[in-house]
Amino acid sequence: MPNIRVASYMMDKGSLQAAMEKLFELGQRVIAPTRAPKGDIFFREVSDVSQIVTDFGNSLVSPVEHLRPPKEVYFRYELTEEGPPEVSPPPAPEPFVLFHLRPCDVAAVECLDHFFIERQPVDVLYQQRRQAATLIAMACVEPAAETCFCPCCEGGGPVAASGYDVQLTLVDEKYLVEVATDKGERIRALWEDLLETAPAELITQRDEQAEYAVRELFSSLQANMAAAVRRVSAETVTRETWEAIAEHCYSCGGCSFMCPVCTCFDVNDVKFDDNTGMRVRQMDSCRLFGYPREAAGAIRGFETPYRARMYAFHKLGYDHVLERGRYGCVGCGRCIMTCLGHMGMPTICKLARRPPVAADKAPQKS
Amino acid sequence: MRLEDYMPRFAQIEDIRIETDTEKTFTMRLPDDDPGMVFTPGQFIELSVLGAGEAPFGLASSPAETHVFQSTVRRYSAGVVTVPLHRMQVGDFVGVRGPLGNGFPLKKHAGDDILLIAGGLGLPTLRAAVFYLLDRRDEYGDITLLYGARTPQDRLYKHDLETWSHSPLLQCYQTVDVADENWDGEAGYVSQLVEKLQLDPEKTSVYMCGPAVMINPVVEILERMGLTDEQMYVNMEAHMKCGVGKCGHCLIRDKYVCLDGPVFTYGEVKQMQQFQDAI
Repeated sequence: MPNIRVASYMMDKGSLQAAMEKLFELGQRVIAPTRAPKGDIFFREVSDVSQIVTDFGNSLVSPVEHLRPPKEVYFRYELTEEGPPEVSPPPAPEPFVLFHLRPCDVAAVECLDHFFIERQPVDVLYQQRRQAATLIAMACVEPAAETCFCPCCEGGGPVAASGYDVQLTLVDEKYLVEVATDKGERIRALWEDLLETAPAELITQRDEQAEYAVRELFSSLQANMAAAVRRVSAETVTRETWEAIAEHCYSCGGCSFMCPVCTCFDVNDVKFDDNTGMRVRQMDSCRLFGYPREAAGAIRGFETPYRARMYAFHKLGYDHVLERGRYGCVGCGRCIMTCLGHMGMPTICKLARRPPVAADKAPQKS
Repeated sequence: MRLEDYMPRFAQIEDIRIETDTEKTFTMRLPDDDPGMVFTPGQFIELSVLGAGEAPFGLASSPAETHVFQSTVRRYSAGVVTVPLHRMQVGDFVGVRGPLGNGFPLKKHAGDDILLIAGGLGLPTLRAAVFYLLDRRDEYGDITLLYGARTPQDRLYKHDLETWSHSPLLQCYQTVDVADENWDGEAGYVSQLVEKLQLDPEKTSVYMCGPAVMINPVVEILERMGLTDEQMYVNMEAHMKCGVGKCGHCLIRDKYVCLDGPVFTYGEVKQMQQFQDAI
């Protein structure tokens, strides 16, 4: 959903609390980052501003899960004595506000929009949720975590260029508030008293700040994704490289379950009793052993190296880049956080660009 | 797409014909108020048994009939959907989504000689193509159907094959891998039937459906006869979960079998096979 216009406003740093409080006045569900008892960050529906946390790195589970849930009901059914079974679709999702997405999550939503809505046929379940959602992004001033590498992904970076309804960026003691859509306009109206028109210098200052962050602060991880995309698309990455990558793969599927861009799912029926049940779709991962399972449970020799390449090709292969409008990686670093074999996307890119010299030389953690 | 595209409609089983020990042909009727099954041969449907799941099957009946359609289902002992499907009786309701996929480019090939090559369970979708072609017999040149099965008992649609073998409208040749004492027809692989054909490479289009072990040798012979990759079409199979290019299960390289296929030119198939064989 491209932005038609961006209007810029300014808000005091201290007004954020008041701004968050006002979100509840909208009468919509508010989904925001919350801290679980052991410190993990999850995006959950909140009823009070005190539940919202803003001081966190990057959440392991992306807020995108509220647009593309890991498990979603297609319909419930009831078998009848005579006549066809009765099926009922789930109720349409109610409008909600998704607060504090990071620019990588916004980029992921753009990928999903492209895949599920713009690329025919439209996935109605996703479309319904997407239309119900108002996205309020919080741009990053510095890398949210040491695993971040968004500037390596085409069009990515610590500030989202598009895809959000409202974006806040902290510049010194002020927030630059950008309003991009009609949904965002409703949020602006809500924050009317807190906002004033942003001076042009604030925008310049924000841009310089982002440029500085990309140049100086994100230097630890270099994925050089464009080069990897070329090599993967041209299918010049050797079998040995995929085998080296697969050697570090436990086929746990974590990298795709945590990935905000991954879309694959499986469809299953769940029985409540003999006559009732539901059909659900659940996230699936091409890294799992059973993913390429065919009729009657046959798996035709798609070993881990093949599936590792499938994963990389679906994200970086040029045909899929076209299908999605951009790279299938937004640099959020969640694959690095979750991979037991230290084989996150930057490492895959590194190996795809430069094959391992010797088979016994294990790749180092990025 | 509409929300209903993930929701099955319900068709009532009108007839069940036992083809072989493991295959049954189901004749299903959609309600009168349904838009019907308007399809191109080569397209597929997702049949579902609620509580068990959903699986893709080819459409085997004549596309001229829109509210009654047929699918042939092979039962696998581990089949999540096929086992309960085979237990169904006349009068039961099955969920159906479709038609899905692209189908054979029959309209584009009007005026051509059409060569249909089926192996084993590949016959159903080509049977739909035969019905389509016979309905428009004067729009096409020669029509030839080659069919290979493992044994004489494993042949599907024995009644249709008998009719077609004696029909002046098309040539129908069958072969079995392993003959028995009652079999007086050809024995051997389909490729042996292809060798005997006299084709006009300028105006022949080939539609194939069968296992890769059948298709690759057949293509080799056809290429020797002067046919190009773009004249040969293969109906591929994959375990599509969604059927609309979203779930990712049928993805090979950049092609979604359910959305971009299941009918591909052999040129495309070759690229997909190379991608799979590279590792």
